Amino acid sequence: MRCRLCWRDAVEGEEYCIYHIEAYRRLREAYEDWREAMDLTWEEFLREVSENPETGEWAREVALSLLGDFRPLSPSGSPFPPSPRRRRSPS
Amino acid sequence: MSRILVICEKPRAAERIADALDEGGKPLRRRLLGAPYYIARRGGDELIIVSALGHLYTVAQREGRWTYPIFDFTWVPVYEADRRAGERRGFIEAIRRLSRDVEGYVSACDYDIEGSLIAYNILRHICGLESLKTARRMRFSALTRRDILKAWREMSENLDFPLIEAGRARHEVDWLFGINLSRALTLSVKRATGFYRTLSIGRVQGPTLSFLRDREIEVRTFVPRPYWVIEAEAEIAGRRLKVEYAGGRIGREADALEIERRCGGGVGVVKAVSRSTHRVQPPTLFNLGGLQREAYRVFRYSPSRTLRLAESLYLDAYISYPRTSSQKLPSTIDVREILRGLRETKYAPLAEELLSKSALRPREGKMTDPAHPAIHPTGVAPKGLRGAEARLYDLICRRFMASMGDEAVRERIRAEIDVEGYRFHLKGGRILEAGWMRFYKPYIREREVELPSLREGMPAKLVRVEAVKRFTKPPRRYNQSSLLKRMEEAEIGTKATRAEILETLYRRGYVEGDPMRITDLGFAIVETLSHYCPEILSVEMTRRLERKLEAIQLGEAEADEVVEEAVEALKPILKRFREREMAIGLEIDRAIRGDIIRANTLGSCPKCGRDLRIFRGRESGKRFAGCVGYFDGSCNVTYPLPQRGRIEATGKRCEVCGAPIIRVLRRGRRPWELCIDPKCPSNRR
Repeated sequence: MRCRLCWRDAVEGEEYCIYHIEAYRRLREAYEDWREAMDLTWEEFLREVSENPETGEWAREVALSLLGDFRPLSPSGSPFPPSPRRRRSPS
Repeated sequence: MSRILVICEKPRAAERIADALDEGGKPLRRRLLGAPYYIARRGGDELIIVSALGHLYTVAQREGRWTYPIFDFTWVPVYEADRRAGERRGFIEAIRRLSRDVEGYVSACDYDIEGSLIAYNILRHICGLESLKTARRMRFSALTRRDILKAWREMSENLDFPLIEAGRARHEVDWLFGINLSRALTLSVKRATGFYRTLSIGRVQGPTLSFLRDREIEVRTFVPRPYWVIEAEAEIAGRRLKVEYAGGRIGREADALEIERRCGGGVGVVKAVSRSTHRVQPPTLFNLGGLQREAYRVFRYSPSRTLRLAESLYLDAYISYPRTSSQKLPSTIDVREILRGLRETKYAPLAEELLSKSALRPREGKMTDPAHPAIHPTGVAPKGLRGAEARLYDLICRRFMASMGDEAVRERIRAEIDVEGYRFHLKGGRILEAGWMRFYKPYIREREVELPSLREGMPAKLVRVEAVKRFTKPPRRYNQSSLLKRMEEAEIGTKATRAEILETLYRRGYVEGDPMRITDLGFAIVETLSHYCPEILSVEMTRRLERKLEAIQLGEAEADEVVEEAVEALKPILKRFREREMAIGLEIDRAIRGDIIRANTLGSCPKCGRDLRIFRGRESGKRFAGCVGYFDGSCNVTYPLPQRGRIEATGKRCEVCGAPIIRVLRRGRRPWELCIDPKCPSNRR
């Protein structure tokens, strides 16, 4: 099964690939610090993090996906360009 | 009278060597089949000075199909393996003709592994095996007349075979790894999908790419944490000065606001004023890595550009040989002589100052190189140096002189201010004695903060106190300079090859931008290799091989044994690769397509919000932008696109119509940003 957020395979029994799972783990960890610092709800935290320019791309994707705002790059499934240029192999 | 063939590495070096060796200083200049050569007279002998064009021979597959594994190789003329190297055919043929009736041979190529191997291959394949027995070797670190004549007088009786063997083994091992793994990757995609794309990986490229991958994961999964700093200014002795809260970062917003509330407008007192002086040692001399890092820091030159520029300066005899690891200058090099030469240049006042010192000793680093000293100017006054070459020469000259300068002395002043029980620091500093910094001034970032005269008990009013929210930052992506340093620390690659490896990563599309960002394709290559053959990414394996190659150079290992060991290490890896070829191919193909999609996506459709991508008309072949909704019939938005140049997304939207803004890049022109909709009024402005 594909990761919900990218083209990689999802980890068995999970919705995300290893990198997005790692990003999720870091979000959970960071939330403890944010709550201590600013007393935010989980949703407020996700909103803050998703808008922060320092947030890593995968962490932002997970945050947006948890907020229900994430739009994958290719919404129509697999619309690869119809005829990628093919070069002949040297053999 | 004997005829002696002198083999040089490059035409410019051959010209310099010929000029120096000819007793009249005017050798005959000739050209044969496009290759320049020179006839010089010396000691009653006729010297035929010929030039190579870098390597004229290379490792290639002996015969058979474009497949893997391949362990059967041979050395062939470069033009047989690389169609772009046709020019070298003339050089080989010219040397062949000029070497007839020659009675002696001298290798005058650069004194390093590559130079030794270049001359060896010419002698072996063009002049015949017999020539190897009598050939002699000139060794020099600079192309000045003085150095060349000294190398001629003191040339060795034999070729430097340990260096040659080390070079041969390095080329063969690199070829074995490179060709087999690159073909395995390319063919896995071809066989799994029918899609051809040149993919490559090598024994140094692998670990380098994995450094980038590890850093990229850190960056992309990074979640910032908030913290607060207290920014404050105090009025002391009529001056407004920045002060720093002594407690550093504050983790809780409430605590930061409390400090802001209690200290704002408060009056404190200056406590504990301290002054200290400390000495700053001169910088060490440059080796190649050091020069590449510094040139990146001050000019933003890529390591490969710095190497090219330094080589050009070396060929003009303005600096010593740049491919050196050494940060040392042996006592045999007369630094006073070099400084006397620099008196003829714009550095005259600085050179005079150093010459007036009774003892001159450059500050050396720890790194050594048995063949060459640290990079230094030769003392030959440059003529007509401009642009980047002039800047690099300036950096090298100033560093050389700075390394012999006196220590600099810096004063630090620090005071504490107590306000409502909260402590603030006031810091200042200035240079008391510039010492070596005078020589290196354009390249020093020195911030001086002069403070008024301070004494304990003085009043200090905080005129501005503000709790400022900040966020932790992700680790920095590697840039070309920091990655080069990482490779050096990991002891992978050589000083001569590291810059080239970084270029290959860009050329293959594994990384982009600067700082370097690994692409999806780069990720897929590392991921695939880490699943199926993690050894290729292992620094340990590369370093082990590197040490064995060095052992050959020291005469402690046999080249053939090291090559055989590499073959044995590759066999199981390639077997595993072959067994999982389809899975590997599909995995990489997905990443390649992901990259293509990303590169072709220009933004979102202003009508339906889905992706706008670049397509080509089936009949006209012209490119245009279209909404992906076209495929399921839900949207028909299309825009014509400029047909020349590269088009990329900017991530911006047009303020007039909301369509994406694109950037068109054409060689020799400024990047051009425009709204994708040609009818948009913003494009008419």
